[in-house]
Amino acid sequence: MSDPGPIVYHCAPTVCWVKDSEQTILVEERSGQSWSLCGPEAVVWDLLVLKYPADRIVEFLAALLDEPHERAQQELRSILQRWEEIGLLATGKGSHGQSGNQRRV
Amino acid sequence: MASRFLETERLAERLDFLARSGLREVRLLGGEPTLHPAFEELVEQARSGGREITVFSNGLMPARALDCLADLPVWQCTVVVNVNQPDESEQDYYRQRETIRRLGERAMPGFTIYRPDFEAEFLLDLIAATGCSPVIRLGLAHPCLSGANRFLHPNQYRAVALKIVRLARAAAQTDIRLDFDCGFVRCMFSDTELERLRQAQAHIAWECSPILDVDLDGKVIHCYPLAQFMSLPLTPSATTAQMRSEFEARTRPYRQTGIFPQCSACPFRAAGQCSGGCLAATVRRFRRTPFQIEMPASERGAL
Repeated sequence: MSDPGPIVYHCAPTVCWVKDSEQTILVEERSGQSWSLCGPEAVVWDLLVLKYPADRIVEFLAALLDEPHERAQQELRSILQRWEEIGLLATGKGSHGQSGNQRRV
Repeated sequence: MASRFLETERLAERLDFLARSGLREVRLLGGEPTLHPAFEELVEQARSGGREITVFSNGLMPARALDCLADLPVWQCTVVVNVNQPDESEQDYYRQRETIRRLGERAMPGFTIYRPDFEAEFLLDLIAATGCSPVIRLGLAHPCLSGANRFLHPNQYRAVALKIVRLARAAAQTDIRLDFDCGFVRCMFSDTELERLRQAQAHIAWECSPILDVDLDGKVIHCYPLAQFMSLPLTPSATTAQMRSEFEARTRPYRQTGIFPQCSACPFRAAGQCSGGCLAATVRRFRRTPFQIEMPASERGAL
């Protein structure tokens, strides 16, 4: 079985966000849909918009949650999958900078 | 290309819009509306049928426009004259003062705060000397979305609040009242200062619920600062209630917060007692930072 390769998650340019004192609010400007992020999710969002790579975000999460690296990686994976499910992110099959917006199967 | 001035025949569409909406007040604003070459004709159309008119002016109006407004019954005409600080342009100030004197009770001085070191006490002398309405319409300069205009940053609100309280107390001594325009926030004042404002009979409000504007192209906008953010066409059946409802729906996601990071957790905002300030300033807080992240797919691939 061939290596499925990395999954690339994308955030659309129509998503805007603001960091408030107790939450991060996100708005999809075309649909008007909005989300509120708190806790580790808000931290992950902060790091994503700062363009941190996955391995660095996992490091931060491991320290924040006081969990082993593998658990932190799974947490990040769960967060990204959840955001994909609610329409905040789209996925495509990554190949060194290629991008797409089709759901991976 | 659109005309710089509203064509007089297009005013009827706007008056129909107001009539359908049950509104009896017509607001003329610009730019400087009194510079319209057919200003007197517009005023006659606007006030026909007993409608009241409110003109927003810088007070530097042509003599014919001033004559027209000064001849209207006091009950039917209000001219909000936005007055600059005299040190900004002394010559303009004396022209504004003369305009206000001519208009008498029809004139209400307006003052927009652009900078934290503003001085507005001169308005008390102006009101005493001209016999205009003893009300000062006080506004905060809000940003357009581009931020290209001159505006007061919300971080400066606390500094201006102290001066506003001082102004309100001085005004109250001569029975002059402050009337807050949109975009003020409750937290810019302490409880003690709020009590002092109330004692001074100031009309305080923490609202961002502007009266809709119709621009030269017939587009209805939420307000000037949000003109580039959203607009609706002025259709033959539209009413202000419908349009407000539409604007409210479109802006609701942004209304979850306000001009400060603390706004989304503020009990006064949650209770509807404070809007969280100017929506344009709130929208300007939102950022757009598209990103992508690569995750190893081994575990997901097994799902």
